[in-house]
Amino acid sequence: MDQKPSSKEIFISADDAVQKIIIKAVELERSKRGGEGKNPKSELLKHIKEIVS
Amino acid sequence: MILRKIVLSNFRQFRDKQEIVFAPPGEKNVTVVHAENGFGKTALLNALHWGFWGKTTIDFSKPYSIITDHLATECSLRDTEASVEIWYSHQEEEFYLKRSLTLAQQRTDPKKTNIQLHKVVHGAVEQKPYKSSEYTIETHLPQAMGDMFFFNGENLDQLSLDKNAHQIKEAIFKVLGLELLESAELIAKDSVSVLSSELRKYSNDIGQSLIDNLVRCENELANLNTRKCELEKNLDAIEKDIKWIENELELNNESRLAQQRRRDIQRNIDSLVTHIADKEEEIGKFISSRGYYLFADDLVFAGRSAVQELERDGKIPAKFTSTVLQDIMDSGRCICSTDLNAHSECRQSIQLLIDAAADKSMDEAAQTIKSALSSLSAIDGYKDEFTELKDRYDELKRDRTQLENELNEVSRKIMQLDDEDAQNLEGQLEVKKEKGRECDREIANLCDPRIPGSIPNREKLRDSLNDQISAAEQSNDAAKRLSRQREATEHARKVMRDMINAEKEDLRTHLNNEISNEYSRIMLHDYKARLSSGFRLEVCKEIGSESQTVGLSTGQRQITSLVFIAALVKLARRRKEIPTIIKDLWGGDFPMVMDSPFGQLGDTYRGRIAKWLPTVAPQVVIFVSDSQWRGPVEESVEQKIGTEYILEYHAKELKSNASQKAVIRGNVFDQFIEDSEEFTKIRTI
Repeated sequence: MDQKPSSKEIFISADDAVQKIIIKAVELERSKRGGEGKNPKSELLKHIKEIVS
Repeated sequence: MILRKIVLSNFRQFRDKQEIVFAPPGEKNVTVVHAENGFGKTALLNALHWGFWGKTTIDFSKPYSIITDHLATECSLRDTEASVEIWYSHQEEEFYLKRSLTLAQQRTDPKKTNIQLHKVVHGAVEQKPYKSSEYTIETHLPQAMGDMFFFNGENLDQLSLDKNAHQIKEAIFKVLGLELLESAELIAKDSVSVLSSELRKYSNDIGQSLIDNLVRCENELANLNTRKCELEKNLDAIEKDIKWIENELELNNESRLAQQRRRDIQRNIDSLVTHIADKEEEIGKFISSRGYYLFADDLVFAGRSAVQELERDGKIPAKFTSTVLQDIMDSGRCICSTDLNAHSECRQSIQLLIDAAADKSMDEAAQTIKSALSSLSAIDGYKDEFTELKDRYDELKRDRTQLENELNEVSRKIMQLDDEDAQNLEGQLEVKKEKGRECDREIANLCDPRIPGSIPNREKLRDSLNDQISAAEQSNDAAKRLSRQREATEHARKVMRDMINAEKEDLRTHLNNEISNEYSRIMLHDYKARLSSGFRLEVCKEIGSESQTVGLSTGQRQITSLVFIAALVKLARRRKEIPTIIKDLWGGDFPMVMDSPFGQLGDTYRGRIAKWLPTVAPQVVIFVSDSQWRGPVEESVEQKIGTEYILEYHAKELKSNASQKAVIRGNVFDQFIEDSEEFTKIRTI
């Protein structure tokens, strides 16, 4: 039976821009949990507009 | 997350300020609180639940009377306040929380409590509390984990029942940090919505219609998922109400026996449900691997006849094949050395043989069919095996129907009792059960891909619309850029969902290894425990090369559940060692806090569990009665005790079956003091 890809393999096989969006989204969620006041939605949108031209 | 200290003020029978300091992780990582039944063990467990999440456990009577009626009548409305303060550490930081409730609040809305969470730096509580204390506490110790790690041992066996698979799944998700990825995916989803509406402004009619359809589809999906969550919450609440009503029926003298009978029947049904699900799985496996044999009777018969006819006619096996004769012909010389000239008689004879000889591929095919047919001779055996499986399955279902009829009979008997309270409770129980069934049905429909408008169906439509939007031509550079941004973000969402599924499956494997290791350390039987792909906690026995699920006693189910929780605690500690693409996912140290964890166990297992617990969790807190403590538990755990307390109960009279004194390692302690008022004091040993 074929082995299913690991999360690492799934991540690595994604485009560079997609990887960057994921990393940023996770980082923003983590900051929110740490009590930082930034709005994750608008921050992620800003980031997407910067990296995908 | 490690508990440091809890301080209770006017929380139920714990008057004034009283505290318990928890043993820290290390050699002596066990905190023991001794108490007779009814002296305050469950209240202590609930002080933790209430402190962290403002909620109490199902078996906690009068959950909205945190301040007791007695104290309430004694004190003025303004001054009386109950509170729980907890000091704890989480990921190398120290925290302090205080949840409180005034008597006025309790009388108006007891669910509304005051909570403040502060950081503790160098032993001092920072003045400024967190903006959203509830949210931050939930990120330190989600309630789903608390329900798992702070538990009443007497109800623990429930965890290993099929119907609680979702609880197990949720705990794994939260304990091991996958919720972080899930929340990150939601942020990406919001970005896709914003980008879609921006793109709409640049799109032609077709593009706009696609985006509108997508927005509609996403909204429908959100509504369906919200509905599913609501139903699951309703179902949980209904289950809790059912348990409460059943407890009340058991406390009622008239209905006690019937309710106990119902509980026993229900346990048997729960066990049967597991067996039925196993048989269904077994039948499914049989059908997918060998099912076609069952329908191949006529074909096999026809095949055998055809091959026999060919054999009878001497066509197989072929004496000569056309390929061999053709080779001879091509070589120009017969095997008897005769020259095969173009018009020679010999050549013409061989040509006639070629025309009559069997084709090589046909001969091989006939032989293959013959051998395949001979392997199908086992078909009768398969039929018997299938019939046996099906008979057993039908028998289990018949047993379940019979038990369900017995349950109806119990219900009818209670309704006929000459006791209005029992009748009312039974009536409420029936209503709750019907509501539960309705919830179950609706959830099943929401998840059924065959039903139009179900969640999987809408997800498919969403993916298709996304593909169409990405493929649509855009009119100018700005629109093209927006389309690329939208596509990349949508793709990121999909990748995150795939990653969550992959991580979940990976962690299930790790968790299974932990469960298997810990189970073999505890269980005396040659049983193996595992978590199925559907997150069912299963216990199997190896019979030859086959593995068969076994039915368990209540005590065995309790051990199985305990092993699962311990395995989860262990895996959380090891979380950082497990490779994951997302850095610093949760995990870490978590305590196990147990009220009466040895109740359903015999002496042998009591000793084994008591010895084992401090080795699996970094911090262990046990609330235990004298009868559960004495003997094997005491012997096994005494070297590991860091802090130890006894609950001293003051009241007019001693509860039945309770002892006035407790004997702990040879020392005698008063645990009941005759007093005109009822309250409990926490005494250090």
